[in-house]
Amino acid sequence: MRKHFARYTPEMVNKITGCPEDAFLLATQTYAASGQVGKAGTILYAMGTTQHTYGTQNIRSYAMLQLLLGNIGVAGGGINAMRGESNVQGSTDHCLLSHILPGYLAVPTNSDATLADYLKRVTPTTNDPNSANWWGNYSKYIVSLLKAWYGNTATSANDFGFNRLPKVQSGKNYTHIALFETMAKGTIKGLMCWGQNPAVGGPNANLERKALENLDWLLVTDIWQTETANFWKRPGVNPADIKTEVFLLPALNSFEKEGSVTNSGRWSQWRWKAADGPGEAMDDLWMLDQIARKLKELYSAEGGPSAESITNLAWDYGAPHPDVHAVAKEINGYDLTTGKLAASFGKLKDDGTTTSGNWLYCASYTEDGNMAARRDPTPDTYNIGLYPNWGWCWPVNRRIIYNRASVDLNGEPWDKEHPVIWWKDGKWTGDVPDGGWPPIAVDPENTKWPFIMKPEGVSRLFGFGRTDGPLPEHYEPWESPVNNAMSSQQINPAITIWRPEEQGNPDKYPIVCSTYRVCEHWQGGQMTRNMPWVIEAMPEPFCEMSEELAAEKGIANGDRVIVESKRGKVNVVAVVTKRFKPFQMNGSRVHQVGVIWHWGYTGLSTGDSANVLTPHVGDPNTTIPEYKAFLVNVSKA
Amino acid sequence: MAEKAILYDATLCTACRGCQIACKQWNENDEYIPTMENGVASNNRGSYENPADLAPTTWLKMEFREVEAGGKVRWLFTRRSCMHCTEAGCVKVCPSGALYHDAGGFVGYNEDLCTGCGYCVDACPFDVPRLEKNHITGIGKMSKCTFCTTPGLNRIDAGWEPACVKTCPPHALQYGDRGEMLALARQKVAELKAKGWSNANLYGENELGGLHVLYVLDDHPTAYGLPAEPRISAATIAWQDVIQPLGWAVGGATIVGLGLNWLVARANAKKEEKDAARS
Repeated sequence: MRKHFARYTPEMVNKITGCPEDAFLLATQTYAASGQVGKAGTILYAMGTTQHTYGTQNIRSYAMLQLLLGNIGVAGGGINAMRGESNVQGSTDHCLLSHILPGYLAVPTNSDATLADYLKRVTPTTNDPNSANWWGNYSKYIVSLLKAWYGNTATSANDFGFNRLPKVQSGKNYTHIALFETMAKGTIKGLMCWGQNPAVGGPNANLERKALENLDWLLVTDIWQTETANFWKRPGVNPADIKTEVFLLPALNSFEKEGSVTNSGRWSQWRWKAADGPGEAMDDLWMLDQIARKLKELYSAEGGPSAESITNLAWDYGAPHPDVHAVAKEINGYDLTTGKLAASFGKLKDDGTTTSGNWLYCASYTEDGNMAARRDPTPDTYNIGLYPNWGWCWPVNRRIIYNRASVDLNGEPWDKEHPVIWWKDGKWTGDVPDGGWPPIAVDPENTKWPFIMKPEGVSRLFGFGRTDGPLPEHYEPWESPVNNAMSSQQINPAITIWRPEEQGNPDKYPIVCSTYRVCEHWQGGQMTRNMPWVIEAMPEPFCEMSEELAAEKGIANGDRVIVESKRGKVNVVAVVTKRFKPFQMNGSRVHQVGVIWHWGYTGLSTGDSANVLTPHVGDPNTTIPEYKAFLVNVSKA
Repeated sequence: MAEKAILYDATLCTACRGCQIACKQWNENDEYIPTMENGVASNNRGSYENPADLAPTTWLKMEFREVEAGGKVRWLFTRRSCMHCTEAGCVKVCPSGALYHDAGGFVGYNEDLCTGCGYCVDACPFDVPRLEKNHITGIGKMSKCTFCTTPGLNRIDAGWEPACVKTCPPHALQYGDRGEMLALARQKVAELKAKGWSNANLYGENELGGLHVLYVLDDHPTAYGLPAEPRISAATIAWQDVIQPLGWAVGGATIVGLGLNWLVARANAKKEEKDAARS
């Protein structure tokens, strides 16, 4: 690792990024100073880190840096994702993504013929008696999940209904870009678009809007009309040519319904309904309940492929309106022997006697009540800002994961002024310890290593399992105006390139472009582009550029400009600013511009969508689109 | 009521403009928001700022300034609204009593009494009041921040903070007794100076007898677009202290004459301002 990263000298970093060597050294030395007892450093990141064809490796480099500095598990440490929506963490925990089931259990693949095959593939093993290897409990969590979903019809005789779960094809990509490519080919015939607006937010938006034309039906659930729901009458198309049947379900917003929201720190906080919604708008729990009931009815009456997957679902959350507390309790889980709510995931079993809709949330709603609804602001034992009785934090209300890295081998905090946990009088005090075994030096025989989710029990500098290798390495974005200064391999070799013909050439498109958001608008704009106050505050999409670039192009502040990539063009207002400066990269001068992307053709405020510019490429591990670096040209409109 | 003040700490402000929007929302100043639905499009003019200026429906506006020195670019944010001066030019010249000092020391406004004369517009050293004439009736009315004391929308009497303070996520805006706000501000300025911000200063403590909107700044007020030494013109002082009382004493015909006198003084004051701007 030392040899690998020694190649990244300050001089090399300057060549690659244009960051002056002294500024780079100041930043690194300042941050590295957090790596000592009594100090801590945290890394807050957002889409600027992830939306690249090497986004996962960017995050990996943060993890490695924090591990090397001892900034993991301590007060004020960690890597903290700044989520773009209030419940991104919660939706990910509950399997929004295509590769996971609730609680980060792996999605079954076509090679998992039986539950045993699946468990063999996904359950890590260890020979180290001091490794907790917590994922060794995999079977308990998947069986409890299957019991929650399939109830009495899930038995040991039928693998607890394992084969009713949808299985993905090994190695096939089911993420956003791949789905729209499949839709563009005409393979996907129906789409349920739930509170999402890909016609504005998706990369290569013209491609994605066009792909929607191949659908037989499209269901959009939102609180306003959206570009996606109106794609069939978007500018430049003839509605009569588009055969897709579109349904728009009016939804309630978060203040018009009850439920939990999980923040970036994993705190699940219950929210109560504040107001009634307008007209016929309904909450999405009601919609899902209605759809599920109807599907069960249809499959029961008519049968169909994998009918059991639907007909055997244990689906009873109350009527006429499903009870959100019944759902929250199912997520927590039950001990079927006693009929009581499960106390914690330590009690879950793989024999069919327990249920849990998400093992990580087991202990969130117990016989003592709804833990997420707690609003007790009492500080924690050591007053480091944990507030253990406010809401609830997964797992088991542990506020700082990996917190055993905050103590030495005797369980004494490295930083005694800001202790997270402390071994005193034969037990742990402070936060819920990440593994309750005695400290390493106190009881070498019975202790367990502190990184309990890894089979080796220690932290992982070597990024085992990443598609693009174990250690972060620099590659240029798919579109770049410069050659990779590190190697002859220009771009991340592991990425999928669906449309090589749509790659822009730097001779024609010499300017780097990033898309981003402003605080006045929300994502695809459905909510904010219908709010007069916010529209007035930020009325139009714009392109920010340096005074130097504006001078070269004869553009004055406030002019309308055309920003064009290989894939499309937008007409927006120029914001000429001192905050953008040309980069000096490996001897060449490179300009960058930024375009905000919230706009589209539907709503009170309309404007061009920056995503008609962005490419359909993404990170090889996650396929997060490369919104943050692609090539354009800019001219006065 | 003890003297009250709003404290704006520019070093905490992220320019989210929640205050600007909360001000409009609470004070029901959304009637003329320029959207396509209302027949008028709002434009970006090459800036994060919008609307372009304070207006009858915009009592508070965040301003953005880019400053470059020594190869470093700084983005400075300023809260622009009524400063609620102790020596308030607008109160001095208001002939109808529509503008007055409230119990908390800030400049209240009774719209019903406003005759639309516009004297306050010229008398304000911060260029805050805005006058708009009704197209149908021809009657003019001034508008400005009322410190959330507009009848029917009075947050202060209810014991609440102003709407802008209530909404501020980083607590860059605070509200309380003026003495407490001054203490907080002095402490913050001392902290900034200790960190090397040698130009850090508290704006509003003594300006115009003391403002009721105080600013913690990390640089000279002019870097934030604030006048270094705001003052009321001699004509404005003369109007209240000499001409107006005299006018009431002498009677109608004199008022006409003095009115002319005022107009001359007003023209001179404008000339003074222009001269000052050029220098």
